[in-house]
Amino acid sequence: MQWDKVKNVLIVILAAVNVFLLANLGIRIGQEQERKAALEDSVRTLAAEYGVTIADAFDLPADKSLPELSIDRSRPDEEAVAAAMLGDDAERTEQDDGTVVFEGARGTVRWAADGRVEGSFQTGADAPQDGNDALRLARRLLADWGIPIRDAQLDTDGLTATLRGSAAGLPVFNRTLTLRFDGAGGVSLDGRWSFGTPYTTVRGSGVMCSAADALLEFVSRRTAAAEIRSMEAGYRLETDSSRRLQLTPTWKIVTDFGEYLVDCDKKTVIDQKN
Amino acid sequence: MRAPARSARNTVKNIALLVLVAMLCMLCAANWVLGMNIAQMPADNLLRRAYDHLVGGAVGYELRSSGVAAAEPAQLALRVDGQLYGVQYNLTEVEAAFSAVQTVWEKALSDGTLEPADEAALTAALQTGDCALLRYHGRIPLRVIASWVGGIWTDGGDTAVETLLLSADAGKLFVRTPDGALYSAEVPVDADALASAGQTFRGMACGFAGDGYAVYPETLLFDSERLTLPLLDRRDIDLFSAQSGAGLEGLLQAFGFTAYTDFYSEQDDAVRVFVDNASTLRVSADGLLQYASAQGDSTVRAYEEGEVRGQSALDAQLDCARLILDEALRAGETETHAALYAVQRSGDTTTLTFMQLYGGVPVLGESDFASFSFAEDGTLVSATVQLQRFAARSTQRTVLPARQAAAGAGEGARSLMVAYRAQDGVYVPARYYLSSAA
Repeated sequence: MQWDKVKNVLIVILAAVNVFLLANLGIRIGQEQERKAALEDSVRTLAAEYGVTIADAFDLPADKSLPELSIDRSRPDEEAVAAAMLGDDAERTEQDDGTVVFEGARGTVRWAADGRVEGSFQTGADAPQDGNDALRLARRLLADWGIPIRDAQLDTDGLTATLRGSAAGLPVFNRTLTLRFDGAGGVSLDGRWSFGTPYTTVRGSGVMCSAADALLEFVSRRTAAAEIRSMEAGYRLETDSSRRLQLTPTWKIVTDFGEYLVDCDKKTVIDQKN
Repeated sequence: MRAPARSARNTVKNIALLVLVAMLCMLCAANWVLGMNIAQMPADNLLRRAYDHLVGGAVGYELRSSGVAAAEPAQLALRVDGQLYGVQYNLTEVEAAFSAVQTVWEKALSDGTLEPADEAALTAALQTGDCALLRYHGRIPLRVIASWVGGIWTDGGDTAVETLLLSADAGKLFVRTPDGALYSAEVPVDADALASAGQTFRGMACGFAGDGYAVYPETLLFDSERLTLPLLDRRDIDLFSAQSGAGLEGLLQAFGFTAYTDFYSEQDDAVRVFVDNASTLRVSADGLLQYASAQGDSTVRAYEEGEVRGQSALDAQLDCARLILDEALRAGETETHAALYAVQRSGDTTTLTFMQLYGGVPVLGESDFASFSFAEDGTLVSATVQLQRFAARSTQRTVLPARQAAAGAGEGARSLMVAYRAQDGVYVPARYYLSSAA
């Protein structure tokens, strides 16, 4: 048997099949790109009809399917953080609505069942004098309190530091902690935070996040925004009817008038932050 | 020279063949993957997880076979170093206490063999040593409770239980069933976990009834108990009001319908009946939901037929029912939450019954709050939910303390329960006796 010739024939056949598959793949990717460009054009046209322009740099994000996630409230973690903030002698009181209040010689911290936290206390450190000092102190305090900043973003504006948290590799738009240093050794704390790894169930439902749908729903609401600059898929922290913490898939739309959150599933505009 | 040249050419051809075959495999896979709707795959699919890593989807979250417990215990207690503390009928306190003792129960409910036990052994175990107690209202299978706390229980796992008591000294788990039977099993007790739980568990001082009362010896009697609860008025629900739009849409989706499904109205639009090829959903504006489907055709499935069985099937059914109930409670904007009350099997149908709680206190009515029947293939065969909305009055009532109730218990009254019941249109909290035949 002439294996040499057989190999030649096989090489030709395989090369032909590969070329066909490659072409097929290229056509599909090309069609997808064309569809995306056409969709973006249509969205721009429709948005313009509502009096909203879409920035030239805007890139319509790809659709995503995100699972709805749950997080268990962790009172031990809340207590440990409060003890680190106020000292081990802080007294703990739980109210009927699930809010836990910690009071110590240094100040007060309140953790609510929906993850909201607020407090005011002395840090025991030198007061920061500028933004750089505030950033360094915020980083050190958060580490001391046991709040991880590895997957979070820490920014400062003057003597105010804001920690923006993420979960499951995506931003959680309302999971933030704001530290306002008063310049006299004190700090006030405000925001919403959670502990532990989020989870879903094997049969848990996923939510399809369509950027075009969310954008069109948003512009049709005729908000004060005149220009859309960017949008990003992520989560927002909320409590469900059984008072469990949930991470709900959400789009964040950045406009010239501020940031808006749009629920991926219900397409409702949830919140606005200027 | 010819032989080496032919050999080199042969090697090149072999390499080319290998490369072309590898390319063929990769291109086939790429074409296959591109043609699939990976985003719609379930979260436990490996391809979906890999896809999410590549395209920036959600990653780094846990997948659990079942969500959080479908029912919180009505009472919990823990005795470490001789002092017994307990919590009861307060959702936030119960959740806090449960998180403190979860590890203890997770390790204890990791299989054992249930055997009938005598009351004397239980009474002896109650008197000394570290112990922990969980009490539920209802008839909940032991394996379901074990699953909620992170453990696994197979032998006798279908036994419906009401109270679980873990005794460190005896190294035993005692289980009380709703019909009064007592079982025990040798289980591992983690002394370190108990000591750690003792540091974070917060509750009121209490004691066990022991053999001095007619009620079960494990009944918790709180010192200086003052359980004061508001009276409740029933408020109207209008599921069809414009404000309920989003909630109703979510509710329809939970039952496999969309907001555009055809429906017809009855009773001057007080009732809307949504119908598709396989199922019917009857929604009353006042909160009554009735669903029925042809077995095997329902679009609502807890799992695909043949994919899961046994405990996993029950977990999936519980999750499915809970997701629907969550949507229903959201649509009704109720202040209540649902808790599993019973699991019954009849033929190849499993029926899950839920009761509703207001702030952790059961609200009892003429009929069950919610029930879901699943076929063996995972389809939802029928469901009924009676949504109710309550408003707390400023008037409060103090419930008869358990110690007094236990002292007044007659023959047959073996356990106690605090619940709301309707009296002249007002829901009033009171303590009730339950007989062993309940």
